[in-house]
Amino acid sequence: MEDKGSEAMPNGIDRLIDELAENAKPVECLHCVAHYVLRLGTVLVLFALAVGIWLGLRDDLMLQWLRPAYAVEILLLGALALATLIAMVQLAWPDANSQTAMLKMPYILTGLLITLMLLQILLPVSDPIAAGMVIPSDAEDHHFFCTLWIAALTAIPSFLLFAMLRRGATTQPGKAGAYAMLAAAAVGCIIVRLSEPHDGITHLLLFHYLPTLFFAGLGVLVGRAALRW
Amino acid sequence: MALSNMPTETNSKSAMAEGDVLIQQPATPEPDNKAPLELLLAAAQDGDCAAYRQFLTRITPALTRMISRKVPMADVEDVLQNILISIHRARHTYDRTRNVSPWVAAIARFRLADYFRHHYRAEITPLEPEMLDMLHYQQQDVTQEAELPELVVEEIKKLPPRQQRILHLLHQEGYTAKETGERLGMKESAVKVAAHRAYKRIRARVGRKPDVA
Repeated sequence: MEDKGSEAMPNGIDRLIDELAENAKPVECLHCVAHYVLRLGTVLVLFALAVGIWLGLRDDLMLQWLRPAYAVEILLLGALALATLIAMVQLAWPDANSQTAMLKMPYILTGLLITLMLLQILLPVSDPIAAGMVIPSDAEDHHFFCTLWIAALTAIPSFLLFAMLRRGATTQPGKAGAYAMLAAAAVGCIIVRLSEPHDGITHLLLFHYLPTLFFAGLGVLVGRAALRW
Repeated sequence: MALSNMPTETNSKSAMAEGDVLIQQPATPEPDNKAPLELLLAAAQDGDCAAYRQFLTRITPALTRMISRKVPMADVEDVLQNILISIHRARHTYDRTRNVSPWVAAIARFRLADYFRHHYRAEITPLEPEMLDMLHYQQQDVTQEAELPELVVEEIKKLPPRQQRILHLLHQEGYTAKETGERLGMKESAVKVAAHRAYKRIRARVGRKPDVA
C-alpha cells in the first residue's frame, strides 16, 4: 500500500495532511459485526413477536407446520432475514469488513424462495384442502392488504437498520439500502405468513414476494440518498 | 453530507464493547518509518496526531500513482484530496484486527467512482482524457508544441471516414459515446472500440514523424 520512498507532494496535499492530523481527535470505533447483528436481530425478533401477538396467529398454524412447503418457506424467510441482516451490517464497513462471501447469501436465499414458490405452481398439490392449504377465492379483496401490511412492517424496522448503516461508511450505499429493506421485508413476510391463513401460491407471489423485491429495489434508491458520507 | 450523523469524536479513549477482539498494543507506538500502517492508524484512532500524519504521508504516494493511472493529471490532486478527507471521515470504521490496505483501497475506489460519475456526466466525454494524455505523451519539447495538434489533425484526415466521424462527434461536437452511437447507428461499445483504434493509429503515426528541427 505505501510507497517506500517519499515523493514530493503538492503543497495542497501537505497542507491538507497537516490539517487532518491536527484534527485527529480520538474516535469511537465501530463494534464488531456480531455485536450489531445481535442487537438488531434481537430488536427485530421482539418487534416480530409483539406484532405477531397483536395480530394473532393463524388458527391452523400447528397443522401448517406439518406441511413441508410451508415449513420450508418460513425457514427460508427466517434464513433470508438473518443472512441479509449480516450482509447489511458488513456493508457498513468500507471494505465490507473484508468478508465478501456473505454478501451473496441474500441472492441465493431469495432465489431458493422464488424457486420453492415456482415449484409449487409447476408441481401443485393434487388436493389442497386435504393438504390443509387455504386458497383465497377471487371474490375476496383482501389481497392488497397483505402488501400494505408488509409495507408497514418493513418501514418501521428499516429506520433502525438505516440508522445503523449511517454510523458506518459504506462504499456500496445502494446495496446496503437494498439489504436493509430486504431484511425488514423478510421479517414482515414472516409475520404476515404466520398470521394470515391464505396459502395460494399466486397470491403469495403477487402480493407478498413481488412487493418484497420491490421494497428491496426501493432500498437501492433510498440507500444512495440516505447513506452518503 | 452525513457529517452530522457520523460518530462524535470524544476526548477520552472509548471502551471496546464486550465481544470485540482486543489486540494488545503498546501504548501509543513511537511513529517512525518502520511502524506498520495498521499500528499508525490504530494510534490515530486513539488521537495520536503524529502517527496519523505519518500514516497519511506514507499512503499518499501509492494513492497518487493509483489515481494517476485513471484520471487526467489536472484532476489528480482534487481526487487525492477527496480520498484523504474520506479516509479521515471513515477512520472510525477501520478494524484494527485487519489489514489496512483493503480498507484504504475500498475508500479510494469509492471516491474514484464518484469522480467518474460526476466528471463524465458533464460535457467532457469519457474518451477525452485518453486524447489529452496522448497529446501530452507525444509532446517532446516546446518547439513541437505548435506542430503537434497539426500533426494529429493531419493524421485524423487519413483515418477511415467512420472513425473520422466518430472523433468529430466526440471531440468537436461534444457528444458522449452513447449519443455518438445513436447518431451513427452503432452500439456504445463499438464507438469506444473504434475511437480507441483511431487513437492507437494516430499515436503510432505521430510518434513516427521525424522531430521538427
